[in-house]
Amino acid sequence: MNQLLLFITAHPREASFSNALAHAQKHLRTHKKLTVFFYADAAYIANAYNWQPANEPNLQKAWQALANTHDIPLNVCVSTALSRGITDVENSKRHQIFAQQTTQPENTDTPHTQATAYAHNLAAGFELVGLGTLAELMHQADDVQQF
Amino acid sequence: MTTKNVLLILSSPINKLSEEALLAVFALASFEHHIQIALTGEALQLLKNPAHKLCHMLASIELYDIPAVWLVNDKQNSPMENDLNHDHKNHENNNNKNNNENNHSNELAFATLAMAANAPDFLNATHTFDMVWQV
Repeated sequence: MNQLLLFITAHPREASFSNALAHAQKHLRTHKKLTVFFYADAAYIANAYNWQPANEPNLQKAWQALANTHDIPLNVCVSTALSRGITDVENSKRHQIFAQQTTQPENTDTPHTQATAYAHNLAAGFELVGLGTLAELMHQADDVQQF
Repeated sequence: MTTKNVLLILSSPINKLSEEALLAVFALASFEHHIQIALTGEALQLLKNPAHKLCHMLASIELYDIPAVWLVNDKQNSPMENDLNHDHKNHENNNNKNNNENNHSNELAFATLAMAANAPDFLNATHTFDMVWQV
């Protein structure tokens, strides 16, 4: 079956990160089984507020398209994501992370900031999971490659 | 279900990414994967600071059945190597002077690292792992 696990740690701006996507696309052309785990700086790919200029490849959309086409979960390490300001609603509730709204009241120079709701900015298709998931994926994989 | 052999090479100056890498391999070791850790390049500077958080983390590798850390100095007889020997002696002297709990902890961390002076031929050894992760 040749199940491949891609363990991606590179920052999305690094060449290595783009290489991982190319490798995944190539693998899926000839094999069916692929799993992915984003760790450390690679977790930045899961930020829904990422913006790319039109003349640059949108790696987040590319991963989402790949995951959608081949039904691949995009696993992201929860602790490294949270430490980089990326969270889903569940973890926002657990860790009391609130979105904040800053307003400028009349007759004062001091802005007023207040928590409005639980923050969440995890991009669609990505899932926050623990390192236990990585260990399990590694057990299941025939081959592991790190980027 | 197969266990994997993972080599973590810490070579960059120690930072948050190094700590995250250690946490990951500790978790993998908890799930029966075989882990080997190597220090090389700029990361060897860690040995000059045995009170560093990462030294304390490395001191706990036996709890995860991780073998002694490989110290890979690619420059034989380099100033780095001399520095390390010098620092080791200084560290021993300091411990003789002051044997409080803190120093005992530092000694433990340093001893764990120093155990690995007999790392195998590094370049050949890297080919035997399922995954080599350099930070």
